[in-house]
Amino acid sequence: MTMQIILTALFLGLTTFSWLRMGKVRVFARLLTILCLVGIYFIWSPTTLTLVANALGIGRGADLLLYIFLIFVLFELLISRIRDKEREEMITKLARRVAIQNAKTHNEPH
Amino acid sequence: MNQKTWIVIAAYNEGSVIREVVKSVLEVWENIVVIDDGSTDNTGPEAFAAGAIVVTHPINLGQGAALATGILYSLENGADYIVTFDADGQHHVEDIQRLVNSAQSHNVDIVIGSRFLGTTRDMPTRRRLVLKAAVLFTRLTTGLKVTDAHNGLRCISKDAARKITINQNRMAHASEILEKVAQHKLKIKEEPVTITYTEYSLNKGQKLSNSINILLELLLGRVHK
Repeated sequence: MTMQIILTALFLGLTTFSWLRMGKVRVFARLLTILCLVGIYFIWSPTTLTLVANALGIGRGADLLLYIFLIFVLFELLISRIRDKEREEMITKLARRVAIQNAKTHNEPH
Repeated sequence: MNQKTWIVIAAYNEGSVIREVVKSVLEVWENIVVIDDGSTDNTGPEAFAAGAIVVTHPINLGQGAALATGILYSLENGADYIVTFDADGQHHVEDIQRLVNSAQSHNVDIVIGSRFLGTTRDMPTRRRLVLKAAVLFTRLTTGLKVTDAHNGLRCISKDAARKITINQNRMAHASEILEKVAQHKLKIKEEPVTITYTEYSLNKGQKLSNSINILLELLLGRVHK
């Protein structure tokens, strides 16, 4: 029971936070609220989640969550690696331009 | 020589040797650009004092990025041929002329130095094995029949240099260059060069453990493209 209360409080907090911080981007706030509500529902009715899991051929609801989490994390990892690489390329181009513009030559124009 | 050749030297914390290397190249070649890759020592001032043009990266980006900067600088300053030369003194200046001659007379896009065709002084067995593995890897992935995949001494024609864009900032650039050569079907030739291994160059050189990083960077580069 304790864990369920903590998780519910966490989700409610997240919803409030999203409305306070993402007030201008309503879509995200709404999406997050829906997700949180669905989450709260499953927290209090884990058997429903297990039914969903069974329908997908997975034994337990907790396993379903684990798999979804794993897919999400791996996807996010890949995306952030690609984003890192793109950012690195941008920084490289910028640094290269700066470096070439400031090249130290031996016959400076007077 | 009426065609313009630029010598590109990428240097990171080579303050103790760069002056001698630049001087020895300047005895024969006129256009030298040293890319100081954000060194924390006096590499830049030393190279400039020795007579090279110095282009300084505001931050350390890696050898691949430094070579790309040098190549771009050379192209923007009218280079017909660009020679990449290592900063640690393991290459021999006399080999530059042979590479340039070879590029001109055989009309090839890129000439790369091979230490396995040439003479190698004091190469440790372990280094030999790592390099041979790299050659095998390159042959498998690019289909190019090279004997040395990671030699820093190369001569690239200006047209080829425009096609070979180096995106690998760190050490994976050597493989990347050969991949681009294969991709654009550029004409490549190898020339024997002499590499002198000194304690200094060995300490600065690639360790076996780093090959794993290079492979990862190459794979990631593929995913990204």
